[in-house]
Amino acid sequence: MTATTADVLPELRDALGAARVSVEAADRAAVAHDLWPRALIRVRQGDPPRPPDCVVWPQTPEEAVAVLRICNRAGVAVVPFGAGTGVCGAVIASRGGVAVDLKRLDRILGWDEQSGHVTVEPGLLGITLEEACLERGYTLGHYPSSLPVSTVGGFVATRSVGQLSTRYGRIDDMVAGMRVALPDGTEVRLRAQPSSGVGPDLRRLFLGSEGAFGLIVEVTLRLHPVPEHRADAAFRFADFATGVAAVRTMMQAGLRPSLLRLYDADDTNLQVTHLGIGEGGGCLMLTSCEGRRAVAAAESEEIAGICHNSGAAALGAGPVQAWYPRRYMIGYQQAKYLPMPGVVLDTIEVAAPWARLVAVYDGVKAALRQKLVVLCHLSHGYVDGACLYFTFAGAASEEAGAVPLHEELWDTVMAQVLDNGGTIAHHHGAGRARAPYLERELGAGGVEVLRRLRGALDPAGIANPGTWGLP
Amino acid sequence: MPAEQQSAARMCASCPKMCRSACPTQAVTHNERHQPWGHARQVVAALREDEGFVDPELVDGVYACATCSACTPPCHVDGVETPDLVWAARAAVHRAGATPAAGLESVRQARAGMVPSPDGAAEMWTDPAATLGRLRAMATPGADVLLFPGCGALGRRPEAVLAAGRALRALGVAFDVAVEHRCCGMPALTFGDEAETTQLLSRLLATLGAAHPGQRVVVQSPSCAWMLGVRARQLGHDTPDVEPLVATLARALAEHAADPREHEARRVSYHDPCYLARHQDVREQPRAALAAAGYTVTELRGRGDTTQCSGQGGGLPLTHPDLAAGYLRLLASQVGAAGVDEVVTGCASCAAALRGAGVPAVELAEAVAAALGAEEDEPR
Repeated sequence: MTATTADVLPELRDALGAARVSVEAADRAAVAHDLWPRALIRVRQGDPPRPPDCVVWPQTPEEAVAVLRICNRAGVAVVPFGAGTGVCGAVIASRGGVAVDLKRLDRILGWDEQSGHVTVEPGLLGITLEEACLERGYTLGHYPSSLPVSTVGGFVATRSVGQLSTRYGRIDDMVAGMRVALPDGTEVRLRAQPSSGVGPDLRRLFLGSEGAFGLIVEVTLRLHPVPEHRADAAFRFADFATGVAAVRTMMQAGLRPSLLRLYDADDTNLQVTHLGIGEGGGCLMLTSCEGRRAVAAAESEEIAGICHNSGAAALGAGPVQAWYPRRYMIGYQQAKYLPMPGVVLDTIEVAAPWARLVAVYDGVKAALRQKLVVLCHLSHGYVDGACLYFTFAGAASEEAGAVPLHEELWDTVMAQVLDNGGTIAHHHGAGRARAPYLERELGAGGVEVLRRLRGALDPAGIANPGTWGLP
Repeated sequence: MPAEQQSAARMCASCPKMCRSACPTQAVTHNERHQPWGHARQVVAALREDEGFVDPELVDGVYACATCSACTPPCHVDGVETPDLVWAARAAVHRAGATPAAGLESVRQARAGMVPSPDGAAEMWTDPAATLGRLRAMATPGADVLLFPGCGALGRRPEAVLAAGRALRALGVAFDVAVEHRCCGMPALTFGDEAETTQLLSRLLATLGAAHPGQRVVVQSPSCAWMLGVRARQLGHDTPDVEPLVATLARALAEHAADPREHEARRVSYHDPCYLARHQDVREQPRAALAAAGYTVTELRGRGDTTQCSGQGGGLPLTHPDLAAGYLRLLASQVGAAGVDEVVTGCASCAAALRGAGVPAVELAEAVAAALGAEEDEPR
C-alpha cells in the first residue's frame, strides 16, 4: 500500500464506516481489472494487474463526494468501479489508490412518466432497470449484450450502445440529465431537459469520461413506450458488400429498424448453427421493426423491398426469433475457451462512413485472417455509416506468446481502421486498450484538449490515472 | 480438487459474470468477489498455492454461499455446476484442515442424532426424540409410506412435523416413522467432509432399507429429500423410492377431494425453497396442494428458477449469519410487496427463519392441516 492511501484510511472509515472500507487482498483483486482480454490473459498467467490499495462502497452520492474530497486532499488516486464488465481496461488502478465500487448506489430515484424520464443511481444493473421500466409499460431501448451484468454508470461512462440502437440510439441519446462529482468533490447538476442550447453540451463532456473527470452519481434517462408490435424478417445476401449497400439504402431512406445485423460470410456460417437455419453460405441479415403496428409493418415492408431489390433471399422471421433468446449469450463462449493456454479472444468494434466502410472491413480481414479466425457483423446503422463489430479467436503456440499476439492483433486492427478512414471505437470506450492509438484518432490537438480538460477538472490528477494514457 | 472441478473453476472464473444478478450473496454484499465468478477466481488462485485452501479469505469466500443454485439457471457453460464447485472447494478446505469450527460442530451434532434449535442458533442443538414420539403416536407400523422429517423440520419447526402427520392422516395416507432419527449427511457435505457424508448417508440408507423394504420414503426437509433422492444416486448409492412431502400431499389432496374448511389465512404466497424448486424441480405440486386446500396463491416476485433464497442453506447461518440475515431481508421484502396474509413454504427452516424475522409463515403441511381442520394431534 502506498503511504498516501494508508494515510486516508482512517478518514475513509470515518466517512463510510469500517465495514465499507476494505484492504483485504481478495476484495482488492476482484476489482483490479475489468474484462479487458489482455488483463484476463495476464490473470490466466498468474500475473494479474496491480490491484487498488483499498476498496470502498459508498451508498449515497454524498458519501461518494466525501471519498473524492478525502482522496483529493491527499492526492490519492480514485478508480470508479461498477460491475467490471468493460472490455478496454478502463478500471485498472495503475497507481494503486482507492477503488470506488458504486454498486451500492443502485436506487431508482424517481419517474417522470409524462416526460418519459427515469432517474437512477449509477450502480443499478441494466437488467434491473429494464425490468422496472417494463413493469410500467416502458423500455429504455438499451440492450447491450452485457445488459444482465453491467451497470447504468458503466453505460454512461463508456458510451455504450445496445443491440437496438438503430432505432433507440446510443446511451448518449438517452441521457437527459446527470449529476456528477468532480474529482475535488465539486458537484455538477445537469438538469434533465429534452434539449438545451446553452454553450457546449456538458452532458456530452461526461459521457464516455471513464472516470477521468470524476464520478457520475445520478443519471436521468429517456424512456420509450413498450412497442405495440414487432415485425421480424431475415434475409440472405450474396456477399457482404451487397448487404452493406442495402443497409445504406435503408438508413438514407430514413428507415430505422430496431434490430439490424448483417453478418459476413464467416460469421454467417457460425450463426446458422446457433440459429438453426440450415445451411450457411452468403451473408445473413436480421431485422426487426417495432412501434405502432401499422408503422412497424410498413417499415418492415420497405426493408423487405430493399433487400429484394438487392437480390437477397427472404428467410422469414424464424432466424430473428431464434436470435432474441440468445442475444446475451456471447459471454459464455469466452468462459469455455479463455482458460486454454495460448488462447486469445477479443472483440473490437469500430465505425466508418459508408464511403470507407467496406475498405475498413476488407483491410482488417485481409490483415489477420492468416493468423486468427476473424468474424464480423455490421450493426448500429446511421445515415452516414455504420459500426463493424469484429470477433477474433486464435491461439499462440505457447502461453508466453498470448500477450504479444494480442498486442499484434490490436496494433493491426487499429492501423487498418485508421489507414482506411474509420474510427477506432464505436461503443466499448477507450480505456487502456485504445490509449496507444488516441493520437492518430484525435490528432495531437484532440489529445491536447483531453489533457487540458483533465488538468482543469482534476488538478490533483487523482481521477482514474492511466485511462486514455493520461497520467 | 477433482480435475473436472478445477476445470469448472477456471471456466467460471473466465465467464463475464453472467449470473451476477441472480446471486443473493452479490445482492446483499455488493462486493465484486462475492459472486460465483469471484469465488471461482479465489479457488483458481488457491490452486496455484501450496497452502491456498487454508487462506482465511478463500475460506470466507467459499462459505459465503447458501448453495441455493440461483446461479444455475442463467449459467450456460457446459461443465460448470456451481454448487458442485462449491462443495468441491469446501472439501479441499476440509482436507487442508481449515473448515470453520461451527461447521465441524454441526457435523458432530448431526452424527449424534441431534438437530438444530428452532431459532437456528449455532450453540443450540436439540434431541428430536419428543417430537418423533408424538409423530410416532400417529403412525401405522409397516405402512407403505415412511415419513422422514429430516433435521431441518425436526429442529427448526417441530410444529410442521406434527402437522405433516396430521395432514397425512386426515387425507387417509397411513405412514410409518423410522425407529430413530438419523442424519442424511447433508451437514457433512455442506462442510466439506466427504468421508463423513458417505458414512452418514450409508448409515441412513441401510436403516431405511433394512427396516422398511419396499416402502416409499416421504421426506419433509427439502435438502434431505435432495440428498436421499438425488445426491445419493450421484454418489453411487442404491436408494429407496424417495418423494418430497409436498408432492405426496399434493397427490393425496387431489385424490382425496377434501372439502377444505374456512380459515383465516386464505390469501397466501408460496415461497419456493431452493432445494425443492431449483435442485429438484418441484414447483407445481405445492401450488396444486395449496389450491386444492382452498388457498389463493399470490406469486412472489421471485419464484421457480428465480426464487429468493431465505439464507438457511449451505451452512450460511453458522458461518455468515449477517449474510444469511441479508438473504432473509430480501425474501421478507418480496413477501411484504405481495400483500398477503401469510407465506407458505415447502421448507420448515425457511418458515422458521421467516417467522423469526416477523413474517407470518408456515410450512406447507401446516397450511394443509389447517385447511383440513386437522389442528390437533390425533393418535391412531
